[in-house]
Amino acid sequence: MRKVLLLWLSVTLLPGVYASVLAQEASGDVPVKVSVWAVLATHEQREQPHFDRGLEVIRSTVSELRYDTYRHLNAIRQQSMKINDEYRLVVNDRYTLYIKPLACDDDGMIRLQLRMEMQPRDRDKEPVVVLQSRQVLSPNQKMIIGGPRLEDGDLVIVLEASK
Amino acid sequence: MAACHWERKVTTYFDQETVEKDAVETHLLVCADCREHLDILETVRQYTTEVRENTPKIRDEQMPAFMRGIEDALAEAPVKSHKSLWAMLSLVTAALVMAVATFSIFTGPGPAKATEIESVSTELEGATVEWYDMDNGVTTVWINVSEDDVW
Repeated sequence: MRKVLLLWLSVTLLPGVYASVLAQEASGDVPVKVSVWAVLATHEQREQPHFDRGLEVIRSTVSELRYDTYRHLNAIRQQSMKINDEYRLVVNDRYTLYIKPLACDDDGMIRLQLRMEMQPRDRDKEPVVVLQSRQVLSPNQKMIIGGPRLEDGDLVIVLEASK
Repeated sequence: MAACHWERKVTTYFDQETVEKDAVETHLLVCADCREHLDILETVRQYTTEVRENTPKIRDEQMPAFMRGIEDALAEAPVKSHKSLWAMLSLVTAALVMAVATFSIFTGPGPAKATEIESVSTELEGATVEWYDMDNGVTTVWINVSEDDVW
């Protein structure tokens, strides 16, 4: 009798659970997973490109850039982010990246809003928005944001998102 | 022990198909092996005859009742058991799982599209922002900062 009850419960609850998952996905409330690698990219006349530990994963992504040295600044891996919540990644004492997932579309594309702020050398001044962007990321495809000066090189951010 | 080469003739004699009856009977008088072989054949025949006689036979007048019994047994309603219920439940569950899986497959995401930049801007004085796809297909947003960066 208990087996029958369990079976019927599973049969009746399964569609309900599945429907609620579909409804949640359709409403775009499912958190997305975001990975960010912030690196200092420099050109040091190396014969072979150098990647700090943990940065091998971005080697093919940045292969077209003109730098030969990539030094780790900060990173987040597969961090779950809720839609419409803003998350902050402190790159270093000058740059801060703000990430805000806006939606996860039915086709798996992830809409993100990014804001990169730079603290002027004069600490009394307000941070400057170096970049404000809005993009639709293809799931599991990395993109690059780069260019801001940093030390003797440039700041390069590699970004990836997935459901 | 090697068998006597008369053994086949003895068997034929036992089946009453031989034309050498006198010769076989003369040989049996002098050959113990063939006598033993003949005894075995007779024993086997005796047993098979007994089995056949003890097998019940259906007489012609019993045949209609015999067939009616078979038909009645076939017409009997199947015994109700919970096995059919379990089978039905299993079938329903399997059908449900198949339906859900099929639905998931056909409503899943289509082929991946390329990353798309919708808007970019910067407040850095003298800086510009551009975006493009590199040769390796990676979408890149690049902030071009003037060399005399005073920030």
